[in-house]
Amino acid sequence: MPRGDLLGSLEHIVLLALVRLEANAYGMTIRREIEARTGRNISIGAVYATLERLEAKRYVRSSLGEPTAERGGRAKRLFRIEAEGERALRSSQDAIRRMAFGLRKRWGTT
Amino acid sequence: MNPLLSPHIAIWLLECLLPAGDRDAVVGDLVEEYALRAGASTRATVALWCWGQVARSIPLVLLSDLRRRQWIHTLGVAIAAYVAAGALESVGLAVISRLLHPDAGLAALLGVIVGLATIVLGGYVAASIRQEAAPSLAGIIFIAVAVLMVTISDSAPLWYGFTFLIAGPLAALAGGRLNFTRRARRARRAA
Repeated sequence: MPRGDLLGSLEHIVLLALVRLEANAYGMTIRREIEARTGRNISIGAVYATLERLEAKRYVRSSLGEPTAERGGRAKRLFRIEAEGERALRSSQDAIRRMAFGLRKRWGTT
Repeated sequence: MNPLLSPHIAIWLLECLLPAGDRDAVVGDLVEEYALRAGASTRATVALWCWGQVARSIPLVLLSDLRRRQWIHTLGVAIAAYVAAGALESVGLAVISRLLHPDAGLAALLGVIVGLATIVLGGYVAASIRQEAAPSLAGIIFIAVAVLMVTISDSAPLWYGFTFLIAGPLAALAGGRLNFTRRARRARRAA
C-alpha cells in the first residue's frame, strides 16, 4: 500500500471483521460482527459497497458458497482477506496507533 | 401489521432493483438475518428493520454497480426500450380507437391497460438484452411521467397520471422480473 493511501474507516472495520471471522465471513456475519462490536447498525448495502471497493483494490477475494435453505436457496458470497489487504490493514492500524500515542491520558481511557 | 409493511414486499423490491450479480448474496443475507431476528423480536420491529435495511442498501449497491459496470450501455438499452414501448402503446391505442370508438372514460382506462402492458413488455425485452436495464427503465418512466404531470397537467385526469407514476415503474420492474424468472428456470432445466 502506498504511504498516503490509508484505509477509510469502514474499510478498516470491514477488514478487521474479515480477519476475525476467517472462513465464515460473508455479508450477514460481517454486518452482525460490526454491529456487535461497534454498535453501528450499518446496512447490508454499505457492507457490500465497501467489500466491492476492497475487492477492486485486491485487498479481499470473494467466492460463491453453496445455496442454503435458510437463505431461501440463495448462495452466500464468502470473502477472504488477501496478503495485500493484511498489509494495508497493518499499515493503517500502525498509523492510527502512532497518531493516538500519548492521547490516552487526555481522553481518560486506559 | 399493515400488509404494505410486509418484509416480503421489501425483499421483492430489493430483488427487482439489485443488479443480477449482487442479488443472491445481498437478498440471501437479508433473508437469513431476518429469520434470526424474527425469533427474538416482534414482527413489526423486524419488518421495520428489514425495510430500513432495504431502503438504505438499494442506493449504495446501485451506486457501487454504477462504478463497476458500463452504465452508458444499460441506459442506452433502457431508453431504447422506453421509446419502443411508447411507440407500441401509440399503435395499440390507435388500433383500439379505430375499432371501438371509446368515450373519454373508456379511452383513459384502455390507455392505462395498454400502457402498462407495453411497459411490462419493454421491461422484459430490456432485461433480456441487459439485466440491469429494467430498473433503469423504471427510473426513466418515473421521471418522464412526473415531468409530464407537472408540465402538461390539463391533458389527462389526475388519477391517470398517478397510476402511471406508481404502476409504470412497477410494471417495468415486473417485466424485468419475468425475464429473470424465465432465465433462472431455463438455467435450472439445463443443469
